[in-house]
Amino acid sequence: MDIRILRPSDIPHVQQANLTNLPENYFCKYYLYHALSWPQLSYVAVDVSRPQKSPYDPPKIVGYVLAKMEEEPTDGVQHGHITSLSVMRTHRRLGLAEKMMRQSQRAMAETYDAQYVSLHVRVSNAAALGLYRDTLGFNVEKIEAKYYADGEDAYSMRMDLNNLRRPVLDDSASEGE
Amino acid sequence: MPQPLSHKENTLFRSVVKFYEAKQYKKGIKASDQILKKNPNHGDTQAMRALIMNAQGNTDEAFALAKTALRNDMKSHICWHVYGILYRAVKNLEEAIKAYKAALRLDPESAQIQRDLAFLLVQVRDYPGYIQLRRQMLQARPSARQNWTGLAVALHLSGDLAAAEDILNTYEGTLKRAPPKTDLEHSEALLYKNTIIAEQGDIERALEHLEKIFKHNLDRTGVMELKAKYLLELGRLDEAKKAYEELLERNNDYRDYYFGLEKSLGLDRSDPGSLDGLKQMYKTYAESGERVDAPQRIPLDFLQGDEFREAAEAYVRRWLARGIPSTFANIKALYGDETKRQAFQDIVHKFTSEIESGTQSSVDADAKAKGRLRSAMLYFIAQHYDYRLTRDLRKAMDFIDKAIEQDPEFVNLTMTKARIYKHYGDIAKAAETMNSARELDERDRYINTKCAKYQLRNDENENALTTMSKFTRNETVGGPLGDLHDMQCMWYITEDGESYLRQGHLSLALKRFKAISDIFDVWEEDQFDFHGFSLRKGLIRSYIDLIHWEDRLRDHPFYASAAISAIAIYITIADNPHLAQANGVPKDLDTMDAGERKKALKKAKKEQEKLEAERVDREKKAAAKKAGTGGDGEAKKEDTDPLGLKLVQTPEPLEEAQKLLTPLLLLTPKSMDAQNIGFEVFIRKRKYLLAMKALVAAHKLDPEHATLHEQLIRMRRTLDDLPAPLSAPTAAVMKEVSTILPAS
Amino acid sequence: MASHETEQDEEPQATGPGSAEDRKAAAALEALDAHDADERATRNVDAAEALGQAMRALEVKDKKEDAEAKKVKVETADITLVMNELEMPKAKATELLKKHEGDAIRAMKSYVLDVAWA
Repeated sequence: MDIRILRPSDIPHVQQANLTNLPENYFCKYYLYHALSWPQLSYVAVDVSRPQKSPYDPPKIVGYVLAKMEEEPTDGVQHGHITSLSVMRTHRRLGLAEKMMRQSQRAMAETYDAQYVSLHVRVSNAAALGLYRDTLGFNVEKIEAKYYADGEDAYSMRMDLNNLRRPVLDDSASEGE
Repeated sequence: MPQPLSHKENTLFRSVVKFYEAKQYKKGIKASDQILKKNPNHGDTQAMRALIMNAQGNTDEAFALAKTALRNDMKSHICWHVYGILYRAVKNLEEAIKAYKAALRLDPESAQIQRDLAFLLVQVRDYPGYIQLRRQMLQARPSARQNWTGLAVALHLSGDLAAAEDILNTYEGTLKRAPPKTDLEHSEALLYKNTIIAEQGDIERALEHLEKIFKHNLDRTGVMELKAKYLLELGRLDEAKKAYEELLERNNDYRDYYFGLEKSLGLDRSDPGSLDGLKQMYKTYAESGERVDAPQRIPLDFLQGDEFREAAEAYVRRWLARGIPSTFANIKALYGDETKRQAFQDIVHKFTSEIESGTQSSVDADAKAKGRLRSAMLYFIAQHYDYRLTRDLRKAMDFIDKAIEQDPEFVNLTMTKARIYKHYGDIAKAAETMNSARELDERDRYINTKCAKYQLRNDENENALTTMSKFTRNETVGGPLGDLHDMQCMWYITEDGESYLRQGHLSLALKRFKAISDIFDVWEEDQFDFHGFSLRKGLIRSYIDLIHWEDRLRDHPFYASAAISAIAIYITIADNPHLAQANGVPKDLDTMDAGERKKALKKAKKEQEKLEAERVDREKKAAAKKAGTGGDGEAKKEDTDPLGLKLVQTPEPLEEAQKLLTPLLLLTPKSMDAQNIGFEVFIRKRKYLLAMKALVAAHKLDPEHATLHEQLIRMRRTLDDLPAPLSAPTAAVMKEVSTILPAS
Repeated sequence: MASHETEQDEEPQATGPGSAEDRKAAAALEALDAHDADERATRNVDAAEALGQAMRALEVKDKKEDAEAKKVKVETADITLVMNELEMPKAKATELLKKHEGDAIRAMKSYVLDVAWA
């Protein structure tokens, strides 16, 4: 599977992947809002070994991470946020979620100087918890009661990005141009 | 000229505008009432009132009032502006543009009218018009960066890259101080300019420019990718190699980087001399440790013969040892090559004997690992025999059953068993099995989705919707089905439509396919706000990507398949107008005599009316429970044609078909299906040159195609039997372009 | 014994809404078309003069292109014919004819034999 940046033309299939896998869904325009506001942050996993059916085959999206920078951080600190992340059931156990997350996090730090990244996960989702907490290094900050539409609570998790952040660029003018 | 008001009424007028902007519509109407009492023909007030009425949902009345307003005051830019806004709201962009242009002529300085018109012009892709307006906007306000960017973008999109670059350079030249390194907008602007330089073909210059901005640019992946690309194109292979290696360090799961590195090393897959170099290159990356798949999987694409066989077997064994379910999916593309397919047949035979003798793992493997490998192998073998190119369904079923026996909770196994039933042709059993799989994990939407799909394939529309309803927002207007439409769930709507089509329910099928087309209309509309948004943010590269994607929006298979199915239905209706009267019509209608047919149609119509009444009733009940809102928070309108009867009863089925056909042919000309269906529409519309064009295109794609053959003959017959001869010029053209037709 | 492990079965769920992020999404989308009352004026810009030069360059190019397009003469009857036979709007039909020096038969033939449905 290829891991690469999400482009606007990927959105139809990212949306279908989301609708297939998860109960929390979005309009196409919301995906566009992410892709055009923070173009470096969202990634897709593409099954490139699929035989081609027609000259107009769209890329076969088997996983995605939809990410953003928090527009109005309540604590005033620049941070990233994972809006949605999912991998097709048929392509689990390949480390795709972890790989996509790492790429996204690096971009958050490099391009936006994000201090940390946050996300929400269902308290019952042991597998996701394992990924975020154990594999990637997120910490549970708090529980948000009845966060999900069906009433389930969410862990609000966060991971520090200081080791990925760019060296302090002073506000002086860039060289050259 | 706008009519003058007294001082008091002027204040009132300003308040009407404020109320509109604050969405306090009732207050706005009231205030407008007060003005109109004394000045009943005050155009501007009527226009503002119309605007508010439209916002409240009374679009028809709003239009009527807006027209009256204009008649009262043709020279008011407000009246024209409102007229434009109304047309825009009903998506009539051509008329909106005319109205906005009129408004602008009357108030050439208005920034808002300019902006709104600019967005409309780029939305309809009127580049010359857009460029002209952007020039005016820039001249009016040269201190705003986005006006410079706006003009550059306009020129870029229209193809005038040199001029676009010029504008960007001119703007940069006016900056007395370079913006700070942390300025993302500036970072992006520099990269945007860089891509324009490269697009002009001037890679040397693009690289020079890139090297100047490289160090501090905030999009690290962006600049690194461009640098590698440019170096490769310029043939500076050593530097390109370094650049690609650095990219691979950051992301070793992206084939573009590997392919770039191959070329930098002078390797060529079609050249046997490159083989060793390729193997060495990938070996280095494969040995880097951690779970990286690409350097191990990619060689399977270029290895041949015994080397391939060895590598493939080792690769598959490694994955199966880890119990990874997607192993087969990952290698099945290789089956397209006959010798490689044979190699996999042999590998599978090996696995089969090992399983039978229990020797798939080494003697000292622990029980857990041995079990995991056995399970994964059984699954792999089952998928191999299920796959079209190596199909042996009896074996497939045998092995999947063994796998399920060992691992009954693993959902993927039962899923595959359902697929095997599907391939047997037992759709009912397939759906039932998929439902069993679903019951193994009711919290997982993926298997829920698969189950619903299989139910639809078995024409169990109601059951499928019930299945989906476990994950939809059922309080939406229209219930689960409404939610699926709202959330643009293409696959469901398409499959539902295909199912209705199979059952002969033309109207419902057409309604579903039209819904797909409507979603594409929404997606086309979605770009509108970004014309302004992206310029304000200065994030131009992704905006350009958006525009290019929208330009070819309907080349997507979602659109193509729905459009072709819908067009086919319209053709059926055009050929058999009586079908429009009733649906679920027995397929053998044509073989009945007149009396029987009349009875059958009457019965079907009664059934439809009953279904419609039931459905309307159901929706009313659902709506009574909770007033539903659409995604934009406004009251959602009830569906006035839930069964699609109005759609099939259209007086102009071929015209409706043409609307769907035009983008299809424009964007997917290489699709044989598109050209075929195009022919069917044009020949019925008696546009013989266009019908011929479709045949010519189809012929270029595949001269031996069966449908094409049949169509060529029909075309010849049609031309021979024309009731009236073609006009002289048409006949002259036809003579020259019809060489592919058989002789008379 | 189940040989399929669940602990490593990544099932990352959406970190999306309930109604909380729904509202955020709706707000974000609404804010998209908010008109900037104040187009941000960038500091240190002395644009008017630079602009003048850039504009003049564009205008010269325009005049050249206009002049070329006007040269070809096209018959109204031919435009109507092309519009009809090829279902084209007037502007496109005219452009097609101009491209073929006003020769309707050549224009239509060329269109029919072209694989693109422009």
